Amino acid sequence: MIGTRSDGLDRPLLVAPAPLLAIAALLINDHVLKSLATGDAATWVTGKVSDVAGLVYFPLLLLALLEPAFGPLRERRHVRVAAIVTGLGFAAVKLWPIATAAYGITWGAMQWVALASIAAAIGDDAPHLLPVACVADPTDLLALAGLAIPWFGRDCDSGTGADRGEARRKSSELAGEFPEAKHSTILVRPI
Amino acid sequence: MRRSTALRRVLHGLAIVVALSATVATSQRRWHVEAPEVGAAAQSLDAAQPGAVRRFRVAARPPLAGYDGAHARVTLQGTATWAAPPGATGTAVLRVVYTGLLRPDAQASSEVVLRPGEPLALSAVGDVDVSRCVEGRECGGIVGVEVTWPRPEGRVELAWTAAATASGTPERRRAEPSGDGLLVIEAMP
Repeated sequence: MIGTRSDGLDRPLLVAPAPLLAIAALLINDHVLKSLATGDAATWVTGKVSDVAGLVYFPLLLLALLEPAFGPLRERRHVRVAAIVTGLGFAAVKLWPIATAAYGITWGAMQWVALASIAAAIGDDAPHLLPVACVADPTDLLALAGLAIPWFGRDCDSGTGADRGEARRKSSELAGEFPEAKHSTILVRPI
Repeated sequence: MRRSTALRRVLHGLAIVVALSATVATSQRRWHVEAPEVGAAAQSLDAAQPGAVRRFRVAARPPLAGYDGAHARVTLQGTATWAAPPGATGTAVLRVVYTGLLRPDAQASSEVVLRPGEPLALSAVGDVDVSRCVEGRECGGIVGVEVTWPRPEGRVELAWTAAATASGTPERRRAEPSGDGLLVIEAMP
């Protein structure tokens, strides 16, 4: 079988340069650059960098977390649905005070689980359950541009338009030679 | 081939853990300090003394005092019980005014109605701004409640407690308030 779906599904979406770089950028930006930033402009930029980096990898993380329940979710349509869901959620948090509060409480609860586990392990008292800080800033919606990377990313390393045309031509030829391969999915490499 | 698949799974698992940690850990947790609840001596209202004032002093100490955006949220809770004279029917009406609270969210209205022998819960929540304190100095405010009984008949017993909490967003390059004793609330004589 050539270009079967299983070929494309072996490679997890998160284990790819773009999401891994985004995660690294988020960690460096939040733990190093933000503390170095002085002035409103620098604070504004570091805030946006965090949002963009998060939006690059979050749809793929979302799919990875759903995979145990739904099986492999590594096709382009899955990534795009996850990107839409992520974008809508992000916009809601930035524009709708109830969603902002819900985000703060949810993330606070997740942090609490981690902190309480650490406290229990070292024999300390459990920390207070506190929401995380979240600023509802509509200008953060500029960061939605970061979703373009997962949205189009799976084609990033599949070559030029001419290469793709060639690939399609060869695939058609193969489908003619191997009728059983006619309905197989063309291999699309993850980003 | 199998080794390659196993390696991919391990890498995938690691990527999920790192991504989840990055997602959760980068959001700054709000800080939170609280002052232990304090009670105040009971007060009585009657024909001889138809009004009473109860005040509490809220004090913030550095680094809470002067911390950007810091507000102490004060909760006043009280109980009013009317010991009606024999044969009294109807109700006793008290006027309650909370003072010193920014944006008070009083659950009790400015006039409360008591029935004989039935304790009535009174409460108010409001803020005291401690962000404008001079950095490095203790400061705070005084909150209070004034109760008057325009037409006293018998006796009304009043008891009050107060508690305060403060929370906020961490500031960069500044230690966030934590620990005991940063926020104190005490009943004034």
